[in-house]
Amino acid sequence: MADSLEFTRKEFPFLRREIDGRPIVYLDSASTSPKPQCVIDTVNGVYQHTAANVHRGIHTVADEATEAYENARREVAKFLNASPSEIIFTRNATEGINIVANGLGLMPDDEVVLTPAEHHSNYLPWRLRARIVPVGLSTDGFPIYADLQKVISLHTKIITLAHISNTTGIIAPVEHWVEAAHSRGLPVLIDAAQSASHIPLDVRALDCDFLVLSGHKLLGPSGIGVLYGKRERLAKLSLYQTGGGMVRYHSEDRFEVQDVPQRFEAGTPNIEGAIGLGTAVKWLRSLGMERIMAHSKSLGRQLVHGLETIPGIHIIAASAPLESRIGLVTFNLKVPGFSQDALARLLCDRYQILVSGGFHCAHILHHRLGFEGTVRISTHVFTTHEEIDKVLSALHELTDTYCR
Amino acid sequence: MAALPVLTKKDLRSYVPDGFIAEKYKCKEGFASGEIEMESTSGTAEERVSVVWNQKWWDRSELAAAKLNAVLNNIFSRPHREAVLATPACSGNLCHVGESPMRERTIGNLLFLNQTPDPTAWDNKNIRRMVEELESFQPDIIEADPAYLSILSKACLSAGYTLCQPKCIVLTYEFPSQIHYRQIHRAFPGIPVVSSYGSTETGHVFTQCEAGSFHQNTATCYVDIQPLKTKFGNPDLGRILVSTLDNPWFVLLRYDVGDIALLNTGKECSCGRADGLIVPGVEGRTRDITFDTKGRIVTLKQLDDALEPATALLNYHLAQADAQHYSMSYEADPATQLNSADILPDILHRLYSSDAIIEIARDSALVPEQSGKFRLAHTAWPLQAEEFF
Repeated sequence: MADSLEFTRKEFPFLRREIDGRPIVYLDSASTSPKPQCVIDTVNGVYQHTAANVHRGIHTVADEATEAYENARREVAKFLNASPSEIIFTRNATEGINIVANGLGLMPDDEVVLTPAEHHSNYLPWRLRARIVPVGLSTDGFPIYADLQKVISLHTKIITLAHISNTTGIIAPVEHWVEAAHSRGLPVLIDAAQSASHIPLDVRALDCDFLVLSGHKLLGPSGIGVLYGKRERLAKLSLYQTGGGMVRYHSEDRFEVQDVPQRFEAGTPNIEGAIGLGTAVKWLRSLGMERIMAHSKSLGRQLVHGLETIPGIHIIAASAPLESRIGLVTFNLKVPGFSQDALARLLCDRYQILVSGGFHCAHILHHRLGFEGTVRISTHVFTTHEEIDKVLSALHELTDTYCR
Repeated sequence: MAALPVLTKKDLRSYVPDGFIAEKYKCKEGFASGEIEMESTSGTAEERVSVVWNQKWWDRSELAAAKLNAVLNNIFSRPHREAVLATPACSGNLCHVGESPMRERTIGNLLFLNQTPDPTAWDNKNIRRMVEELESFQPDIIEADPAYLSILSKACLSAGYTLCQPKCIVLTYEFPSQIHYRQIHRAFPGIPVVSSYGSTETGHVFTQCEAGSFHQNTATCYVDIQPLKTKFGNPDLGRILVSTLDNPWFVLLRYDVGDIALLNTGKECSCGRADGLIVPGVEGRTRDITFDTKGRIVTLKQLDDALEPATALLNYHLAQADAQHYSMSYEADPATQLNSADILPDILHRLYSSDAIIEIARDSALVPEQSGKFRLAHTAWPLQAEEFF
């Protein structure tokens, strides 16, 4: 099978790494992604040529730093089809969710509707402040999105869901949820931590109120993320942190805060991270997100078809339409004597194939399914069909050798 | 035996499990019957390996090792209870480890005491819980990571809690330092403390006898020590190479566990046992060696022994940056008359040479590595064991 994006591999120095003298196969991009050379060069360039804060200096280099930082905001806005004024740089998706959860002024009797497949980061910030109301879950781990209308109540204050779950790998019907929520006057937050790398994002078309993502999964640096919010929604959120940069006037008797987005960017931001993220999303856009989505879905299909031929495998959300799956599949493979961790480790030790093993920060989903862990294979733009063949072949070899 | 190549952790990673299972045994059947399962060791990323775990063989190894110490032998010859204090039971770093009630942590005759990966974060509630559980469980043996038991001992002594006194304490999991022994002896006065050396891969290899020597567990392993090259120091030091016996599911031949021992200099042990190898001590991990400024190896035990006069030390970590630069962080008991800071430079200069450049800093809390183990010394550069032996 030809790989339309195979040419991108040369851009990733990390993919040349070896373990025990043999080349690696990296299939753990849902955890974090390698960085292309352009992002590495950008971050290096910031350190080599810049020593200035943003929005504060009055010299040439400070102006350049501010310009580069705001250009990155513009790049992210283009990537999401948003306005730069709706883009807040955060540490990661988790912080974006926490800003919203904190800012809504939730009370213990308020309800937050979500799915049982959410990552901890889209579960715990809400759980800390309000009552969690999850929709149902099918026996194979696919959230029953159609349950939404049944669980919305007078106490519901927000609806939130992963655009693509980090365990199911399925594109959620977010448009339907947004429509249902808005018909009841409720805001929607979309966790796009996984989807941002695999499918085109258009916050105008989605009409979501908030959307969060993490830079490190999106070929960008760690420690940088994005909270998108409609301006009127962001303006109503209470302050999350206070400090320098977010205030325009401060005297002994009062202070005035900046407008969004600076209102939520207290203190010196992760300047090089934001600029690096700007480069990453620009590079992805240059490849074409439609093309990336087609590639990801093609890898997902190959994975599911291949995994289905392995006896004793339980693919999470296998009943979901194949067309909705990206190149991310999580499964529980019953191999006598092997925990899911042990399987993942053996894939690394014997075959140098790097995957995730464990609970993937989705304990609720695993508890519901009764799994003591799963193995997750996740792809990115550089992943090839040949690599998927390798992991499938390794899993076949393991089950042929160790299963009845 | 010495003509055979050394088996490394890299070899284990490459060929486990099939490469180490005796030909007539079918691993598929072993896994299916539940006789064996795959496990991972808890080492650092570099050292972590997958192993074939054979519980029955492990139990045989443990029982045979217990015979090498009179107190342990007496306890193991009848039903007994054992409390385990180490990193949480799960070896997978992605596992879902949460708090669970004592009954769920009691498996057969074992009580797993600890539930958190960092013992320096134990609060009073945690300490109290462990004290109460020990009192309720009344173990015959406490099997502990020495660093963990030392921290528990110190906390109980400070808080005035009385710890249940077992018949014996077994220290294993990592190198037992004098800083650990001091606290443990204070909290468990008069209780025999036995050091047991082994690994997940090899089972129980050496047991410390009543006289203090380490005796090879001849029932389940063969040990040979590959001497240190003379240019690196005392050739009586060597790396421990273990060949497993009587375990068809995980046959290891001259496996480098990653530790160093001091060879016996020909003396017999006063305990009267004569079978197998007898060594005065296990010197710590190969990856924890440091070097004096002439390039001679300093084992962890040599460092630890040198630090004996610094009795106020609670914990330490020595990092060697290059051939001449060393930095030591240490914790000291605030309640004790502090002598450590004054004497540490002299101690370290005697050990590493007078031209060593040494920085010493007091720390409030040295924390364990990701594996849950404390590392007392290391060099800033990676070490290849093959170079030294």
